[in-house]
Amino acid sequence: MAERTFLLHVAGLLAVPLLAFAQEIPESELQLNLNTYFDNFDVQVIYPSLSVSRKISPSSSVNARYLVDLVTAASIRSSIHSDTTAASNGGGDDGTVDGVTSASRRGEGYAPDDVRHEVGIGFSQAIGGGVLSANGLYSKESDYRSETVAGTYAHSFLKKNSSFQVGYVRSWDVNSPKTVDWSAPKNESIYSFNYTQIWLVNLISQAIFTYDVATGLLSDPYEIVFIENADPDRYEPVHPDRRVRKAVGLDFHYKLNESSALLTGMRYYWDDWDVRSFTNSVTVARHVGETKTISVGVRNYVQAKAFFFRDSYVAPEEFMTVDSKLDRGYSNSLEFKLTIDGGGHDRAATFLEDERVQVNALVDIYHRHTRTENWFSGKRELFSLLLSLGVRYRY
Amino acid sequence: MTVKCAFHLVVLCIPVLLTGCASVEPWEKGDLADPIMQFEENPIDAGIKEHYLDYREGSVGGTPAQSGGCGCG
Repeated sequence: MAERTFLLHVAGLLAVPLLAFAQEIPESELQLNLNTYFDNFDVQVIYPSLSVSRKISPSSSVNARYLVDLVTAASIRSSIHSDTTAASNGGGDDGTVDGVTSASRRGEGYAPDDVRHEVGIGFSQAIGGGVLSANGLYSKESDYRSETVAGTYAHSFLKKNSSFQVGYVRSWDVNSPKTVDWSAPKNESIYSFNYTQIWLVNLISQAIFTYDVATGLLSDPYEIVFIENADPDRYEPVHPDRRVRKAVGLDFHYKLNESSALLTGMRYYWDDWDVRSFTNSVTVARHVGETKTISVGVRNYVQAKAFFFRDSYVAPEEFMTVDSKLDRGYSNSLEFKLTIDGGGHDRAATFLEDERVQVNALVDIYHRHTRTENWFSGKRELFSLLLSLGVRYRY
Repeated sequence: MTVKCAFHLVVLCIPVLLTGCASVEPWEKGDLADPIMQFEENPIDAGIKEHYLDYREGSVGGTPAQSGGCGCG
């Protein structure tokens, strides 16, 4: 689902804390983020988010979040059905859909091509030496709706040298493509198990296993599979209607000295569509001065293709796709992060006099190579830039 | 398939079995409490990174920042 995924997943931002490891009751905090994304497929996304948590007692906390996605894609609009049913479905002004982002077209000029809203609420409660958290979120845009609930339980033991967390996420989505007159459900269940272990006074690790079962419409109906010499020559992609995805991750954090740490991570992923991948990352984080922390990280990712991905199709098959995410490829990224805490004597701005304030800035430069050209842009190389600026205020 | 499952189970259990090796007292955890040593010091930031990767790559999971209901993948 190309960048539809991006819209819906950027939202994942709100879903993120659903499974974030929580051994302690969250403190009262307000966080405002402004994130932007650009790539050489002419996609631009701006997504501000607001998150607030409130500790209502020593053993409980509530939270709420709101996010908006504003997507603009300058690439050509296209779809098999865009001339027919789209306009009647009430989405974009001209009823067309962007072939890369799957964003519904709203109009010309500076208007975003699609807007998505998401709200979430949740709570955390200390129970029997552990922490129970539950969250719910609702996401809506012109052609997609999602409802999600999630729960986690985290517990520490052995002088808090060891801890585990079990988590469950369940979502019910409805995809209503602008270009057709039908809707299709997509349901997903994610089970997770995290285990954190302190090994030494300066070494800690975390192992994570996730088991994800998705059913329903798992393809992007806006994508087009071209079959030469066939009549017709354009087809909607057909993916299996069930996907079981598993991943194991293992992270080590090692404190090098008083001011620096080395953070390493690796992940192996496999699923029943034959996609396999391996990811590794290394980050060095360092305190600079009294209140600043910088980190530099690199990440590498390699992937095998899905069993039904073809360079081209000569005849309609049971399963067909043009989704680059299902092809063989690799990616590399470089990330810079700066955190400035309020208080201290080396503050750079007046509002940083307050020690309850924290400012975060993130720059991520990304390159992806796929074995075959993207079905829409004709490019094998994707370059993108992610910029994020956030302010946290603990009250 | 059974062998494969057993292998995964053993791999997952290794940290648990090795738990007894570690005995760090509470007053020795100063370095571990440093924010730069946290796995998810800022879940929102982690989510931003994770999800913009999710839509461009065919893999999800295996990280602290998971999501649901986002149509990813």
